[in-house]
Amino acid sequence: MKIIECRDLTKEYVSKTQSQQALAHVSFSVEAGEYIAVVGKSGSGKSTLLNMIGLIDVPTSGELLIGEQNTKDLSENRRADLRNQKIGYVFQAFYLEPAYSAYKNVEMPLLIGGVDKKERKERVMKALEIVGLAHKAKQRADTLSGGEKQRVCIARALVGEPEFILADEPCGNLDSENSKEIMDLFERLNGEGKTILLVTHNEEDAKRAKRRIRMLDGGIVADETL
Amino acid sequence: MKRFRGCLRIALDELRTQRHFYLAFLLSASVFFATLISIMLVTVRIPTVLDEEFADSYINVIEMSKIPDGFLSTLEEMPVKIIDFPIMKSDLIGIDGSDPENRYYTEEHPEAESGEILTRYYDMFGRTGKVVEDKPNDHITRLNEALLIGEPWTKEDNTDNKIWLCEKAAELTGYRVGDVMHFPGKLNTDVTATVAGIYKRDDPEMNFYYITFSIYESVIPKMVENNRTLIRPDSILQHNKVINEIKSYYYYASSYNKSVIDGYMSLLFMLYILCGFIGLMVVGILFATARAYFARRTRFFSVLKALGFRNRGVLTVVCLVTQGVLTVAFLVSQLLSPFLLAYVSDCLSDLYFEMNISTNVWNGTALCGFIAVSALAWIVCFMGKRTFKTAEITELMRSESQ
Repeated sequence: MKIIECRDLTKEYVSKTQSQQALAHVSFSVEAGEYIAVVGKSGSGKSTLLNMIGLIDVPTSGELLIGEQNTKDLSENRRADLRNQKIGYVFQAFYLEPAYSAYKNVEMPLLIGGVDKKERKERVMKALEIVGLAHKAKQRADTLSGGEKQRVCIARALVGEPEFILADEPCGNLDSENSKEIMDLFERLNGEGKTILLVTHNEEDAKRAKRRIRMLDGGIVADETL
Repeated sequence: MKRFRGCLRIALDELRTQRHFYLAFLLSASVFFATLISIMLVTVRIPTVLDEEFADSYINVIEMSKIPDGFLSTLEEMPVKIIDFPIMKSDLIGIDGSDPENRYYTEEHPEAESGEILTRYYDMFGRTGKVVEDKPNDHITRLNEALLIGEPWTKEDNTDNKIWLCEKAAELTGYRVGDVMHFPGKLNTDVTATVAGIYKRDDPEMNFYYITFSIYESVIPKMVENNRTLIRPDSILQHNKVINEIKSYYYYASSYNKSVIDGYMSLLFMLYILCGFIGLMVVGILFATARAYFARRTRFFSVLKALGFRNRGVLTVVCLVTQGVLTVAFLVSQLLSPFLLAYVSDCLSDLYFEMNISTNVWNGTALCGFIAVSALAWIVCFMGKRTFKTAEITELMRSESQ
């Protein structure tokens, strides 16, 4: 079952002096349960593509379907709801709130979605257990290590039980040991049935995915299923 | 509703974690609230003060008009023998006769002669004056002025301690003709005076009692002397109700009441203007605070929006956080307001605005002020609605990658 479908997606950034095409006619689809790595050099458009799919950026042209929902003419509010309910986003820079505890950070998507307190607690603790940080639930985010922060970020992406997880260079700010732990975690999550779309420039990380989409100059140059 | 509860929870967490940022605003908001509450309490008190000041006056007038003519006794004799002594000299008791501003005492006065006219003023004492047509009555007016300041007595002719009360004073104190009143005199001596008579008091220029010179001499310097008002022994002053009644009657009947009302109205107008300025200041402070808070937390809101937060949610959190700070500031201001109010009350008292303001600030007026400021806060936050939409994770990523 297709859960993401990109049809001729294009993104162009226009300034007064020049225009730059970040994404050029990208088309592909993602089936439920897939583990895809989008690889390419810096500036190849992989992060732009992820932002389009994550509904945090709008394509200049083309269509994007999340499930059966065409996102082209959706209102800002509806896009926000889709982000909250169907998409889990893992950022390279974590974007955790340093003054909040790990628990509070993970709880955010549920607060936004208006989930009841009891259910929130259960789901947050479950997500933290999945990433192995239940014992650090009350610890402030700024006191966690880089690897732990990224795991909290993954827990935050998981807590809303999204249809798929988007990870933008999740190991970009981590050392090799923590990177391995995070990649192991993604592999395990995929093994449990989670659909994962990972953006990376690291070939080693990309090799752990089951499908690789290679990008260059805003376009897809290779789509390999391993 | 569930979303609102989520916003509320986020706002509470924000208040907790960002409290250091809000400390300065909290303090200034508390002082501002205290000021606003104090001014509002003074403002709402003014109409009551005016009511209290003049309500009695109206009642007095009505009451006095109801007193039957024959109810009160009249005098058997005048309080002074005006025909037996020169009326005015430059050395008046207690009055600086050299004061060039005081036209009543610097001019030379004609002497009153035996058998001359008695004006309407003396009718009040039970004597009917006989008008001599070919005599100018100018000196009679002067005579009356002299009487009002207590000058007409002579030591020789006024050895008895006597007092004449106006009918209202008699009614309120319960004294009748023949009763003995007590005055604290010089060196704590007890001075007694017999009520010699009660007179009708139709003219506001008339005083509410007259005393003989012997009393006057006995109680100096304890007497209060007032320009154009007869001396007032302390014991009379102790009859607060009498004093108030007399004062209000006097004020009502004279132009003084108008000046009092005008004074209070000016004060009220000034306070309204002040409230307006404070209102403008509040709008500025709230606007700046909401903007500053948003600027500080743009990153946080950008992430929230990436996680599915709506623009309205951002707006709600900013409003709730501002509201939260205002609520705490209001509670703190409840501690500050009584002191400020007492100070304002003192200052007004120095300016002769005796308002007797209660320092209990936990009341409906303060609550109204709080509600008004809260409403203003929400409106001001809504004014920043467009700004709050600018929080975007893509902008954040772009700026951080650069």
